[in-house]
Amino acid sequence: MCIEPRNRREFLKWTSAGISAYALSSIINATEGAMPIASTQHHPAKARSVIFLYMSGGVSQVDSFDPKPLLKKFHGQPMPGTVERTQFDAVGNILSSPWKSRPYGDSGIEMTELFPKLADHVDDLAIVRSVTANFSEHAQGNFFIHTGFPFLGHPSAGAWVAYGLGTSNPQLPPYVVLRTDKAGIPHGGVSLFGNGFLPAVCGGSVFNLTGDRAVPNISPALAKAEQKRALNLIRSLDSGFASRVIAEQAIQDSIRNAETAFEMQQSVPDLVDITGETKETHDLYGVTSANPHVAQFGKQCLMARRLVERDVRFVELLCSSVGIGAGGVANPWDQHGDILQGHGQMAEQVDAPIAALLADLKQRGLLESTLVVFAGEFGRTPFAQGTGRDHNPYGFSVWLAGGGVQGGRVRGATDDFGYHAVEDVSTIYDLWATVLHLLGIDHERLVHRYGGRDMRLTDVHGNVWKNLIS
Amino acid sequence: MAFVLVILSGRMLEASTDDSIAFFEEKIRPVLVQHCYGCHNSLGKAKGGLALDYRDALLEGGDSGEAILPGNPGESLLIQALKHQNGYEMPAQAPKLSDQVIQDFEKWVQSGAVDPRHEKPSATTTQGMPAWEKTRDERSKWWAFTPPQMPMIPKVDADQWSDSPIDRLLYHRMLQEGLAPHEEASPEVIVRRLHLILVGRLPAPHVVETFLADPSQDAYETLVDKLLASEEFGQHWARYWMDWYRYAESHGSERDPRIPYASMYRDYLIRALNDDVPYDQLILEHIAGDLLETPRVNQQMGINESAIGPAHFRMVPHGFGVTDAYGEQISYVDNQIDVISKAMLGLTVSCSRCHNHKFDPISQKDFYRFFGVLTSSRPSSVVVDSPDKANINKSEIQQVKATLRTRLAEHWKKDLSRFESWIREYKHGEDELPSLKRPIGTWVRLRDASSEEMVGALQAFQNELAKEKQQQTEAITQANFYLDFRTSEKTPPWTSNGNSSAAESSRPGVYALKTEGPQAVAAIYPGGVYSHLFSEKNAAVLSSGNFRVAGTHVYARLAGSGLQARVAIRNYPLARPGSDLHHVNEIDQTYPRWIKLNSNLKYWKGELSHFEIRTSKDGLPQPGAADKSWFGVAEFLVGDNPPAELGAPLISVVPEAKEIASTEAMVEAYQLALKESLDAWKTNQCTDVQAEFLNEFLQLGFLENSLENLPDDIRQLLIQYRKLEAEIPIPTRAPGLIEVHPRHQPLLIRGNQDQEAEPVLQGFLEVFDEEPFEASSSGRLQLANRIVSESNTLKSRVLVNRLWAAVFGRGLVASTDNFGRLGELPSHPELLDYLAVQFEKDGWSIKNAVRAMVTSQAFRRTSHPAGVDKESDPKNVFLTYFMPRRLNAEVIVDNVNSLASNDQRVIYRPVIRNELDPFLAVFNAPVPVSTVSTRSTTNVPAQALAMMNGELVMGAAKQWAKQIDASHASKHWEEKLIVMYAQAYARKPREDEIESFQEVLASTDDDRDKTFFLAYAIFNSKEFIYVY
Repeated sequence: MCIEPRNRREFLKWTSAGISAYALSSIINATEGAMPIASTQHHPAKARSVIFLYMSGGVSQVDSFDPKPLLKKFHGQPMPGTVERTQFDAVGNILSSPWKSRPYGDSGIEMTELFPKLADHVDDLAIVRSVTANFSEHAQGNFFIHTGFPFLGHPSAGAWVAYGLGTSNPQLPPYVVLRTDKAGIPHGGVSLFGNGFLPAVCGGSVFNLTGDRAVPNISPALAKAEQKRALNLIRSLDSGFASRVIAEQAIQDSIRNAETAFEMQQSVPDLVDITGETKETHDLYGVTSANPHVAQFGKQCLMARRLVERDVRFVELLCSSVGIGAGGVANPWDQHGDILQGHGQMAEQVDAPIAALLADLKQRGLLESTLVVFAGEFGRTPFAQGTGRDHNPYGFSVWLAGGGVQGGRVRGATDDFGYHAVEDVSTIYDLWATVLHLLGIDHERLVHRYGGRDMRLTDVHGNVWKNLIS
Repeated sequence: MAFVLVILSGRMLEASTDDSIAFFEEKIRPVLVQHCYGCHNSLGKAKGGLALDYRDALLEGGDSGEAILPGNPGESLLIQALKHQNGYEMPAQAPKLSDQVIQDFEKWVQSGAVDPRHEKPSATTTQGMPAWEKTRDERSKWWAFTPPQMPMIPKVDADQWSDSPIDRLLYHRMLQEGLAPHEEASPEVIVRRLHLILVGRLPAPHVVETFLADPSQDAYETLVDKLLASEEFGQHWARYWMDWYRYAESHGSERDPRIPYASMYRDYLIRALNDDVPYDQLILEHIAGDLLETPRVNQQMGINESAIGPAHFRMVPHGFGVTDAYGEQISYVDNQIDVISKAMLGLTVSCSRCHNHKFDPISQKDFYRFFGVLTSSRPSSVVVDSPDKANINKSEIQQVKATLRTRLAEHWKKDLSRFESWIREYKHGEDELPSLKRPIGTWVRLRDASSEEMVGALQAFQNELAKEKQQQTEAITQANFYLDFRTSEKTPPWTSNGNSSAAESSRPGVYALKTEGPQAVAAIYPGGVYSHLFSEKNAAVLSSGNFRVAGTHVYARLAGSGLQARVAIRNYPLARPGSDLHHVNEIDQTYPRWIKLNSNLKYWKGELSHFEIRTSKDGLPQPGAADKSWFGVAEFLVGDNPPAELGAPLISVVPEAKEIASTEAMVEAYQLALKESLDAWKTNQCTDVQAEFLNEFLQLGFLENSLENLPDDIRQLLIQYRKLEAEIPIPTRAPGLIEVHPRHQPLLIRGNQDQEAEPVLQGFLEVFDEEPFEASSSGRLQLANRIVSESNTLKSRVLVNRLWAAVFGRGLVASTDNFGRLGELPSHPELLDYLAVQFEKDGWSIKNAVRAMVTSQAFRRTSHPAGVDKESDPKNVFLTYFMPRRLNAEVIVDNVNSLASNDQRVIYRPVIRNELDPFLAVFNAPVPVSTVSTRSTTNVPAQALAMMNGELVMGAAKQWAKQIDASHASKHWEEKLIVMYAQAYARKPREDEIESFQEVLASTDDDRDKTFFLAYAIFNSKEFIYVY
């Protein structure tokens, strides 16, 4: 069904009276009584869900998916040509990659050995080596890649996907952000996952997988029986109230919400309880790893699969900090110094779990309908900042897999130093235009009128990466 | 026009008459041009493969097939799209065209689609797009751009509804719509409703009882007045205002830097609303409150209220440590424009940053008119003390210091007789030999020299000095930017803000006094701008005009304590620790010396920037902690060559001294230098070197500076100064803007910062007033005056509509932020105009406007569904009943807290962008990023979870229950329930409710558990969070 903007507005009126809605992402946003199961499909969808592997802090493209032999040759020499403004203005000489590179897979795509397990799946990856962003700072970069705008208040990509696709599981939010105690919120805060002006249900719900309270307020404050009695009483009070005022629908909706909430107290803990998964699965994902970073990220990857299985539309994963080279909780990949150790350990954290996720999705037949996206807010400079690299939004790599993407492909290129995108120069808008396209949505037609303007995830930009679609 | 024969692609032959061409030209072409060409043209943009800008293309159609079938409008896709049929909607993402226009198109297609556009347009014909002026004038016919008119107030034939114009207009309209008002709500409902609407609080049970005992019209109006007069009115209504101006106390983004003194604005709003300050005054204050000739002074607090108004301009989101300063500036100025245009005008001016507005008569130039105004002001902290308080004791101190200067000069001159013995006994205590540039240097270095040595050394020094002077002159003449603060001419321009002596430059010899300790004078300075001549408590912000960054280094001849100095790029007020892109120099230096400032000119080459110095508590991004802080600055220089320090050597003060060849002659020269310097100093005629020369002998202890040893009259003067200085308070500060010289912003082609076109003169929206501002100041004051002027048709309509929405739950214009073409039409245009016109006639009084609304009959209708015909008016547009609705987040929390005896209201909690309160957020408190005047009221399970399991409700329920148990010990739970119902719902429990409670409580034995259960259930009930 094709929902045009006007109908969509009508549909929103069904859910809420207003224009600007926001729910802080530390709160669960499920949908019962709030949003009908409705989706916008402008054309047949290839993917049903998105798993967004967010590499906060910025992965170095020249050390991973875009190796440049020339760096070795020019190692230690000043960067030729114009050097763009960097945030720390500590422009050093060219730094060759500490990781060797070679062709992988049937496709023979050149990668470094930074992600050895992931490299085994290179024939499933579509790597875009020419992505550009508009900001050199973390928070602005984070907001930009998430929302298309550099500051808080605009809906996150996950929220737009939720808005576009609706949901088919009323017990779970359509957009879930996974974290653990070790993996924190990137710079900019939880508004990165916000619904902005979209209905509150679209906003990201942050599940903390450490401990037994994934979501605030999910643990009953009263004993179950007592709470049930209280809710029965409240329902009878509310039903009386609903019959005495002319707002019956809204009150009935919130009565339903209370019941959903009551059930979620059980269903959410059930969801995040992975003890039912086999030992093989635990091992495959690295949940049992002695390395706590691998273990936590493995748990996130496994949970992502469980959420996708339950029809959650958009799952976002966050890394934990290994505390090297300026990389902190909010920006773990940010190796301004000691990139060898820092990127090495960060890659170790995610390599096996992501490879496991791809393999597991594939083996369960889910990879076809699940689009996996790997990206950070920017890349890193080919020249050194001490023993690390500074931020580089002028040309970096992201990859997509599954969900209708043609694997074993490379799109675009950076210059010989891996500094500026020069071929098929792409934007963050293109990334989301492509993601929406794979979900069956025309990014130019997924609009929401706010403050007198029809807003889009891609603003007034965006071109679909058609040559990556299978 | 000639008779023409047209051949239509070989398919159709038709004779067109003048009439049908005229019809096309009059009815069809203008619509195509205005609504279709933009996306469907043959010059590069043909969405869906369809071009509509000449006949052949139109007939050829697009990807979906033929656009029109001449003679068959029903089958023509173009007509279907205009009518929003079969899934087509055109114009895209815009309102449907009027029925009349659609009929014209149908008629046109029906009669063969005569189209005289034979030629494919060329780029030079610019597709026949009409001139902007024409489009604008056409669009300005939209209702919102026509002046509000006082309507005829209809007579109505219903007693109750015949008094107030509001009721008459509403009632008349109901009758027209075939509707009738519902009955009046019960007094207990009304008293609760009135409290929640006017003050956002539940009524106290005794107030309810009193009102129930006498619910007369008089009693009601008395209650209304009482609530309007209560402090809580402002505390409640200020929150709406804060939504309109996206109130926040931090900038968001990385590290979420705080906005210093931000909460001053919140408190200002609360006071202003409680004092019922006229709305036009508040608009003036919001744009230019710091510039008003007669500011609004709060005598009791001693503050200049008006000056706090512009604080909202500072509440923009900022990037952190930005590398693209221009992009950042565009982004935050865009936010400022977005907020003031939506908040004050109900328009989306920021939509015209890249092109003329798509729907409203707002040009791209309009955006840059505002932009120029806002970038001619800079972010700062400002002093908001009343003028009396800010300037306290200044003239007295000036007088005391003038007398003191004469007396000191006289006393010191008398003392010169002991100079020879003093200097001959002088022991230079410092390890290093003083340079010859220092006043004492000649003596220390050459006193024991032979004649030849003395002559030789002085000659060599003189040559050296001459060379350095030459270098100095070169450094200045070759500087990329140079400012001399020693002259009173402010060229290039600089401005000074605050309440200090830095307002103007001081002549050499200017001096500061010590405010404590055994010594009298702090120092005697060269000419320049000094902030501490009255007191180090005074606030000062000195700010240069803009310059383009060039050269390699920044130097300032600067002194001060706790000061912050920096070169700011594009007015960016933040800094990033660990990066020197936006470096703030914190400097402590007792006497003005050339200091190299840390900056990064190479990085910012070519950027618009300025130099600024701030006293500690005025610092940005974060103020320092020092109450006492000062600066003095003589010169500022940007360039490649470092300036030289020339000092105040003896030979510069007494030129004859270069001839001296003996110690005796040297002593004489020193004496002469001191005498001449003191004479000059006494009459305020001294030079920089004389001032520095005197200062040296003051600091070395020759010029008597000990209070104990100075004559009594001098001591008394000093004591008087200290008393006056002690009375000067620490300034009250608020976020604000400071004026700099006017700047006209170049229009950015397609909004692209790399494509600057001609500067656009500052001005207001051209649809209201095309006259540009006189370029004498930032333009803020002129903008403020234009906004409140007659020509602006929106200001009062927008405001009264929002007040109406707060009272009735829906604006007369439902799109309260957008009165433009994409907004909704007013449901009651006459009523809206009546309210707007009456509002202005009534002194722009918000309280009077609200009073008229809540004392209307309409406000007192029931919200009970009995007899309500929901079919005829499902949204209650005609207000036959009162619309029940969920309370705002803050009101819910306040009410929960107040029942637990916690009366601190939510409005006083900090609003930190990256740490927004989750409870408030889940109940739809907005993210502070742009104007919000209609909050959404979504229903999500998170709300239920927060109420069921959250700490707020659990804690409050326990506390409330404890209090009820304490005050009603040994009472049965039913009696407690009655008390609690009175507090929470302002009513008695119904029989069926008591039964429900009875049923559930039967299984609980413990009385305390029962009370908790009552509290928990009440908090979780929908009635508790509803106004109805």
